[in-house]
Amino acid sequence: MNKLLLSTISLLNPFWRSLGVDPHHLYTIVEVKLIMDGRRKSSVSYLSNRSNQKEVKGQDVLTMLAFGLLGFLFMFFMVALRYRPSGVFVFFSGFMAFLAMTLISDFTDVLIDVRDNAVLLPRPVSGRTLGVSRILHIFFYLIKLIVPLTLPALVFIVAYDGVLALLLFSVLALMATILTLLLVNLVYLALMRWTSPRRFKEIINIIQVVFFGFTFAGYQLIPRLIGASFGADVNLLNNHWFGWAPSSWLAAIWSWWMMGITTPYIYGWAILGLAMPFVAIYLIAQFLSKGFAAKLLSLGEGGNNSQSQAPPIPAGNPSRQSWMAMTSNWMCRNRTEKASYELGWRMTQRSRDFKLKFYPSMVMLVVYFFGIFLSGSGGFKERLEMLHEFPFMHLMVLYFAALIAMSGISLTMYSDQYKGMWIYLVNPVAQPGYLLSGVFKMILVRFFLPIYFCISVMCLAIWGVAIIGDLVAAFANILFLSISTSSVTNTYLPFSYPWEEVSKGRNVGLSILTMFFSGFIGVCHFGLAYYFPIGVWLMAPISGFLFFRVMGYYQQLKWRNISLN
Amino acid sequence: MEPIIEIHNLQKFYGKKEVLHGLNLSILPGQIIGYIGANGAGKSTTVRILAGLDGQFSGEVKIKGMDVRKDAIAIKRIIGYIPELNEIYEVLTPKEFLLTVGRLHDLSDETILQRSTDMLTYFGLSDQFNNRMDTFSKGMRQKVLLVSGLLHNPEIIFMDEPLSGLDANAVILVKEIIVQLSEQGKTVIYCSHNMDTVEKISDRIILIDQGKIIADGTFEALRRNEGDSLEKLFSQLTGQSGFGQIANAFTQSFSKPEDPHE
Repeated sequence: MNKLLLSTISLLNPFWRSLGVDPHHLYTIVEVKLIMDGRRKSSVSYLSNRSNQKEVKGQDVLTMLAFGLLGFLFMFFMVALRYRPSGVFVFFSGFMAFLAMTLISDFTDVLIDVRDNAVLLPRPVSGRTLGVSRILHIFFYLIKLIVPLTLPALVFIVAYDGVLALLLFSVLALMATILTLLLVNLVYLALMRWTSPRRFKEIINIIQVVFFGFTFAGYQLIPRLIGASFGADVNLLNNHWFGWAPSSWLAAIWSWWMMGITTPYIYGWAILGLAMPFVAIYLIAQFLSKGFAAKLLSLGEGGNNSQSQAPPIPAGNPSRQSWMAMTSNWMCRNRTEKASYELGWRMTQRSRDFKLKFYPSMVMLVVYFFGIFLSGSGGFKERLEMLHEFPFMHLMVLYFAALIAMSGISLTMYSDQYKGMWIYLVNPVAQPGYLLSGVFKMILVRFFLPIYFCISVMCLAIWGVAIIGDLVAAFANILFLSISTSSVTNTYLPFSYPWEEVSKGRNVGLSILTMFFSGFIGVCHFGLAYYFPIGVWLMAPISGFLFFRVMGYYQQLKWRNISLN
Repeated sequence: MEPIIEIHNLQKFYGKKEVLHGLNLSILPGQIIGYIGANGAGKSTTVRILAGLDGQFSGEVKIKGMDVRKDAIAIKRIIGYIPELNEIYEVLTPKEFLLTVGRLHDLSDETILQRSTDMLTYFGLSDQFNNRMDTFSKGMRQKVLLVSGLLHNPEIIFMDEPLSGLDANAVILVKEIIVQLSEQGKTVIYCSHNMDTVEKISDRIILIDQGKIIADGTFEALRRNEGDSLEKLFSQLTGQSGFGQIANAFTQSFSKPEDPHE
């Protein structure tokens, strides 16, 4: 794909020269940018454990296939909704949301990466060539996104509505892209104007996690929504609240052009659709882009070596302990465990990679929970009644939380600063088991307990106080389950392996064991709850006792039991 | 006087490559040892073994009569290590990093905070105590590493390129600290490529080349036998010469210019 795109640069050599751009430099710069794109991991491949260190052959094709699949799902809205403007509206809503999220989450790294300035600026490359290379790079990136996303819909449109419709739809797709680009640009500029570079990166991280949730929820919910609306002849544009969505402006252009509808709303929205790109360009040029280059530069430096960007960590009032210090005092048995607990707390709090790999699993739980709730039909009351007909469904949700705890524990062995692990080796740590148990306890306190508390509150709200026994038993079971699987498979020092090692599947054993074990305990729990309800109350003390016994064993692990990098 | 460090027939392989060829060494307490050698000679490997970072070797290595593998914990209580590379959990602040290291030495939080605040202040980093190290320069991180290696008041200190990235004033300060630590009876094993510093502060210089010790003695003793500066001595002993010719050949690489645009 890259070769095809690059060959178009060569074909236009006379054109570049006429613009004052050096075609040779342009080709070289764009080629290396595309190579680097191929070595970045895209959001669509978050779930795969493939290393991002090496360029994967056919990565582009795989990514485009993933986008094509999503385009296929979007196209089904047009099949399902027989009233075409409604289909166009829903299609472009999905298209623009997905495009915006991808641009922000995947392309941000490219946009804010000003390290190439150090390579390019001292070289004899003209400013015009640099500018054109940036534009071409973005253009090629968008082509790789838009073509697979729109291709299924274009085939459908030409087959059912003819060539004229195909042309209009292509223009609308182009307008949707421009609008999305401008909206994303507005978001960037606004964020960069009103936030610090570090805060900006944190916000981008949040958007990346939300993007994951959106994609995951999309794959879960779109087929259900299509099924529910199949054959519907509803005109969604009658709902005037949708006028806030830019996709409704595009659908209005379709209604006006293809169906001759000329209601005031359709007119208004169509004009908005035609005018907004120009208004956005004016806003950006006039108000927001001032000092953009300087901000961009400070952003690039923010993650590297700039003292000016260093936000001081509050020293804190010595008389007032932080939540972390308080819990570490409660939870830890000695200074080694305490050191590890607090190190783990801070590392997971500040590691971008940890957040990007762990938080999506929490988002999955939320989506899963709402997926259960949305799987029925009818109103809120009907759905609630339906859930009451499955009294043990809460056990599935509760035990799903065990997977989250284990996912967090398994990720604490990784860090991009893994070489810092020498501190465990040169210092007199007699029982390295405490290093492991410290981080284990930190994950439980920092992530598992709040999640479990929220789930418990929601379950109580749905199923009532009758499930309190289940909540207590499942909690003790999950603790026992987590410590047992960790003591068998998780014997790696905290933050001692690079993230690339995730692909080597060191924790595949942990994952399989956790799934098997949590399934087994869940089934036992279900069996007891069904046949011998009082037994559920007996499970909690037994599991609690076993948890403390295994924890004791885990803390006593010796250096010979530790797997070193 | 009993040697504080004894190494007998130390061998180390990386795969099939032998990087230490049966090293023998004996170091007395209170000495500053300048441990020098070319890139890949085996300096850092020796120090990593002594500091307990690498247990995969053959031979005998003893510190204060204790085996580095059998009595690792007891040895680690009395040694300090300052690594060669700026490898650090840089998302932490110096305070958090030093608290972690100090706690692993079982120091009380009060002691850690008091010592680290004092030491960082002497290095001019008092205002950086609560700032994340990912925004620090190489020299600033090096200062934090120096403090982390000395925080628990070790008897033996292994320093692998401790002056790397430091500004001129900090270099003078660290050199003075090393000398005064030695006067207090502490032993310092100092790896460096900076011949000038090694020449000035070392009581004894050990030169390693391709995993073998090829020179060992005071600078004066070595100079009487081999040459007039440590830099020259180093070049002669490691068999490197003719730098003028090499530089000439290097610059001649430009004699045939080629313009890809033509």
